[in-house]
Amino acid sequence: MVDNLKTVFRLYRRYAVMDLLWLLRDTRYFFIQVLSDGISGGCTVAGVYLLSLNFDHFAGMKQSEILFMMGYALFVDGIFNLFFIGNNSGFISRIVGRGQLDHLIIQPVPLWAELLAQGFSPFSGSPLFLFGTGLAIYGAIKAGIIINAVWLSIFLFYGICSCLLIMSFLYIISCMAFYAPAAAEEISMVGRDLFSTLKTYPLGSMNPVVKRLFLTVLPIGLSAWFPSLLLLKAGTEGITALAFLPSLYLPGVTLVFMLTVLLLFKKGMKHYERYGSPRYTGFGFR
Amino acid sequence: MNQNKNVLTGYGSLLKAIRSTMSICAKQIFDGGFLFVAGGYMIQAVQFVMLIFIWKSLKQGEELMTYTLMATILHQELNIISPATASLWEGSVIGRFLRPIPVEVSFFAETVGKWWIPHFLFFGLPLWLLAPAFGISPLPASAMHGLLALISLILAASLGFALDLIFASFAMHLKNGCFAALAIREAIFALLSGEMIPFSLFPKAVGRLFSLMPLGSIAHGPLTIYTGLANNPLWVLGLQLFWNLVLWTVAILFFRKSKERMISFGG
Repeated sequence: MVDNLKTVFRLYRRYAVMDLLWLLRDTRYFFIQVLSDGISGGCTVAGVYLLSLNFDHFAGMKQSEILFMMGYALFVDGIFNLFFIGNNSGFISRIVGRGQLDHLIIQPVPLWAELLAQGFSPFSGSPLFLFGTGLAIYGAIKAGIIINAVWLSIFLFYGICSCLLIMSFLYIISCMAFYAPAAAEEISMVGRDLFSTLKTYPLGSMNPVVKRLFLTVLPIGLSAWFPSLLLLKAGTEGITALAFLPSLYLPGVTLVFMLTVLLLFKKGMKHYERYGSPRYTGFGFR
Repeated sequence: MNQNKNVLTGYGSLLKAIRSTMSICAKQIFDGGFLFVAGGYMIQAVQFVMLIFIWKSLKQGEELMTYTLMATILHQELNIISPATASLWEGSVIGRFLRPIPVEVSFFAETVGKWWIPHFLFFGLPLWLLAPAFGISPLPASAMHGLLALISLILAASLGFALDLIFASFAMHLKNGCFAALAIREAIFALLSGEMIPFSLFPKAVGRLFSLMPLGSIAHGPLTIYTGLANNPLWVLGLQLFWNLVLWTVAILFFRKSKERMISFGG
């Protein structure tokens, strides 16, 4: 296990170098990417923030709290971009659907290590991460949060959990690509869009049944709104104000989703080992 | 010889060629099975449910529900993304120049066949019929509003195609950067078109400003007329007409200039 972890870190270094070389080779494209991330992030934030300006309490949240939640949402997207945007690592249905899984299997490292490392893009993937971090800190200050080491640790921990939850959700739906490669090739993009467009909405005053749906099987509320509420409470009233069970809810659901991924992905891999990708037919593969 | 002529001219007329292209594309979208389009429908359904419950909690009137319902049903007609840009990075654009119809018309026919028809039949129409069961009125504010909204929708779709052509021409110069440019386009459209969040929920000055911009004429225009939220529907139509004239002039010039590069690059 220690050897595998060392391998992962070595791979991270390699992918970081490759990302830097790509940046140096194609600087124009890098700046287009930075601009794209900035505008996309800005537009995502602007819509809901402008909406909140018209109401004193939008779905139970003040404007400064909404701003913090926007920052948190972008921070989570930033983590995703930083670690999983490269080589379609976060969009596994594309790899499976296009018959490219073999490219990973033949690498002299475990599949999980390659999947974990090949998306690492510390240079091209960092703009949204920096933007989100900046906005979250600004929002936290505006919302009256007392920022200290403990709060920052919880912020980072929840951010990672939210990102892993989104990843797990994408991997779960991507398992369909093992059985229907052509039809499900883009399903992970669809899942990502679901989170990108909807996670910035606060669910405070929503119908309880619908809210429960968005906090369980379709965990959109857990990717920004729910952890933001906990972080706001912890930041303004102190860590002790957090109730035990709600504070463990996000990590718990993330764990359940990750275990489901393990189960379904293993099942899918067994199917793949037996039948291969139907893309290796007369149609060819990309 | 006569048969060759028929084949090469798209079975003899432009309209038939358009119809054939639409028909082929409408069938082609299901080549990968229903799952290929079901994911997109699922997102829209979830988005619709979420927005409806948020608007309900804001207690801003029934018109907002109808607005979001129609925005969801007409999503493909309002947010036009033709195969123009995708064909550049797929390298298939060159093939379209060999077809017996103008390349711009081909993009239009493909969009209608591939996106409008299946979306309307398998998602839009069932949602429109089911809406009353959720307590949402699917009908326009009045028959006159419905008629004006239809005219506005045609103008909005025309504006959408003009913007799409401008964007494709722009993407031609970006080469690999067109992926990033597409992300910018989608983000800007989501904010400035009013498709997702009606401008009436924004601060007044911001909403007014957005409604005057070209993207505001695409979704905000027809939807406010349909729901009766537009104070002066004729002003909205006039504004749409104005933006159509401006953007189509730019689109034709820009696309003509980019064509040469497009052909030599080949995608």
